[in-house]
Amino acid sequence: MNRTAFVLFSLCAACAVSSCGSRPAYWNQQAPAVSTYGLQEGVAVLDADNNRLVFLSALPAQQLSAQQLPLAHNPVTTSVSPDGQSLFILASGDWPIQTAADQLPSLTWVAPPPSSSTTVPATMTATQFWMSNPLQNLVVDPGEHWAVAYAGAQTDFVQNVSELVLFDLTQAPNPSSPTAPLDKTRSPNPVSRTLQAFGGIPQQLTFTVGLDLGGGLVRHLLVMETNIDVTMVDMDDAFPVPPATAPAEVTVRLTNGSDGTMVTPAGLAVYPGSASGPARLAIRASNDTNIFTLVLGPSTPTINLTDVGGVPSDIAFVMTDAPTDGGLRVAALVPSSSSAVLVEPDTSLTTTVALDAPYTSLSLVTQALGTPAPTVDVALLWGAPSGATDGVELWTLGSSVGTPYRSVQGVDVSQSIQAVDDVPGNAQLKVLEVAGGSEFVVLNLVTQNAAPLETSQSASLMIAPDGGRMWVFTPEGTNLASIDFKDLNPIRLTTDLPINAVYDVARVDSTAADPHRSLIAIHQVGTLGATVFDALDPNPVTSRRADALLLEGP
Amino acid sequence: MKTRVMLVVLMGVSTLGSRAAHADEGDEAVSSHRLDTGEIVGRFELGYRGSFVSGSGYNPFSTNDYLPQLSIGVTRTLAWQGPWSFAAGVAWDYATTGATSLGDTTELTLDRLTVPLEGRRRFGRFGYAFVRAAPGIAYESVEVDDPSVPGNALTKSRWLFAADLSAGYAVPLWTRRGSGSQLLSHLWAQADGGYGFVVDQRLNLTPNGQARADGADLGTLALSGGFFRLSVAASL
Repeated sequence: MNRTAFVLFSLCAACAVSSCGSRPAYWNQQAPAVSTYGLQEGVAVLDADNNRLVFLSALPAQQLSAQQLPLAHNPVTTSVSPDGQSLFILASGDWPIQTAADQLPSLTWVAPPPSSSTTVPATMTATQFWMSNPLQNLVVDPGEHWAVAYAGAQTDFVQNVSELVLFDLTQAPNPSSPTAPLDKTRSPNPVSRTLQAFGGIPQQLTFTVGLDLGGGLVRHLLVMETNIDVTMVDMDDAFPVPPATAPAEVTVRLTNGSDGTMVTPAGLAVYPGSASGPARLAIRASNDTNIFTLVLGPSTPTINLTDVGGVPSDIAFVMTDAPTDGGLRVAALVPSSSSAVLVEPDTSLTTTVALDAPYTSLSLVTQALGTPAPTVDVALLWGAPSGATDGVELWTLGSSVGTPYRSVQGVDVSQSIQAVDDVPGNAQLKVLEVAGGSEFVVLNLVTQNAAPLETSQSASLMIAPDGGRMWVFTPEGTNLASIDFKDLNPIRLTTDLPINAVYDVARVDSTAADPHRSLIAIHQVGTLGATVFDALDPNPVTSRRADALLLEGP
Repeated sequence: MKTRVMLVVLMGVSTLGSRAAHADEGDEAVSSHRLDTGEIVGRFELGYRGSFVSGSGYNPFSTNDYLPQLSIGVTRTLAWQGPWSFAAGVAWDYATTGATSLGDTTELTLDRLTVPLEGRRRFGRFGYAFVRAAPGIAYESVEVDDPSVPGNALTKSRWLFAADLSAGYAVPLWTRRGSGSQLLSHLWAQADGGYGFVVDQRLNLTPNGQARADGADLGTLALSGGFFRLSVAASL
């Protein structure tokens, strides 16, 4: 080999080695698209593309700390727990499974550690429940005892729409991992269950509170509304230790009272029962004018149908001062006749109350008003289309039965209300979201004072979990305002980057005696940024930016 | 894989050096004459250096595990005894590399200043083998441009201790015939390979001049690793 060959050989070798090795594909992608969820003590950032969850905790001096957790593959549904402390992530895994390394479908529960933990900030822990098939929908029991996954509308190649997967959140997963053996001394967790099928597709599932079925028997039910029937599952016995089996569910097929046509459930109300009467369910339909009331007991429930004169848009069990049935009635709003109808559940006798507007929604606000006669309910009516005289009305049930026209008091809110938000820890306040997002109304139910707060642009609202204030911001804009519920004085703030979401979270050094909170404004630009304010004393001067939150490698 | 390729390069250098051994009987005589008379022999090198970086901290700045560099150095012979000699000098390696990572533009710049201490063994007109130790310092500067950052840039720069240890072989490409006072006496092709050490740097990047903004932690940047260098050199 001559010198020229030597030089050429060396250059070729250099070129060859320079192309060796490559970095993980993670770095080659664009900035990941994430979804964010606010919890009591931080913000969860789901980076599904990279199978990770980043939990942001608020530190003193408006700083953030980030903790990474592995995330189940291909999350389909994410739900914040009712108490705001934890997060549930339903994932389809690597479905269909093709290799041993592929991940099964699962439910992941991300929660803070037990209160005995002294780690600051708290290290979130993940508990994973493994499933044999992917499901798309998740409902968590308000008491956080159970959860259920179900299929709903078909999305997989082959899917059993009558299958429910029940999770007992108070027990450890069994098996503990996809490859671990089943602990036969206790019930599997989760439990897969196929309900008796009449061809209905699940539409909505609801966990009830404990229902008094008489004779001291208290049961918790899972009520599944399909498009043609209603099924009740006893959750207290849903996790038997094999070879024992769970009691059969009860399915009530709904037909109208005239020609037997199947009707589609659209919502339900639950009465837990008391010493004066058994537990009951009331069901309204989207295509029928009847209200279906079920009396629950140890045996098969009995059913009553009551025609309310139009398709009801909302129902609730209410207490009135009527002498029969202990005053219990089903209140139904019928927008087509701008009325409300009170139904006596046993006799199906009705009382119609004319309303000033076709309200579509009602919320019970009895406790907020501190009503002198606590056995009589007060309902807030809202949801009328724009143009109504009053956007909301208070309906006192004590004077309704027999004297319907004197029962409704208009509150001075004339805009169309699209949502009514509770203020945690402050029941007498309601925040009314006016359609269009350019106005919010803080309604004091006791004084019946409605304070409108107008915005120059369509804005979004976030109420602090501690009930002290609310935040209004322009989505994709830089305008932000804090409004303290004590004086309703807006404090105008601004950020350098567009805001996608805001979360008011407890700081890691917060205690009951010395509370501290931070407002985290999320900016989905670059690799995710945030601006952090002192939520109790918002001031641009003390705010701080956290940048490139997802730039760190997986 | 990388080590194997580097060995092939070094073996090729050795083989070619031996085959070129008979090419130029007079070169060694001239060079020996200059050394024997106590004349100082200086060398200027210009080369290409490739470093292999396997640390994860390098991933945001390059699409592969390789850092190409420009390498410049000057040495002069300080002592000699028979076929053995010792030279020292200064060298500068410069690299700049970058990538698009998670949609961000990134850049890494490296300046390495070292003092090569080189022992040589001449093999007549076949050239010479050498072993080189080069302690020094390195200046690492990184930048990540991210829209979520105030001023759009996260940066960090730092001086760090660095050192190289390598061995190689130089083959004469051209030799001036006859003795005299001409400035240029030889042109060389040389290759060496070894290990380069740079103190690790924590990549806790911060926005420039932003007191109320946090940065990002990209882990540890470790540029230590094997390297090779291909150079041409001129002897005075």
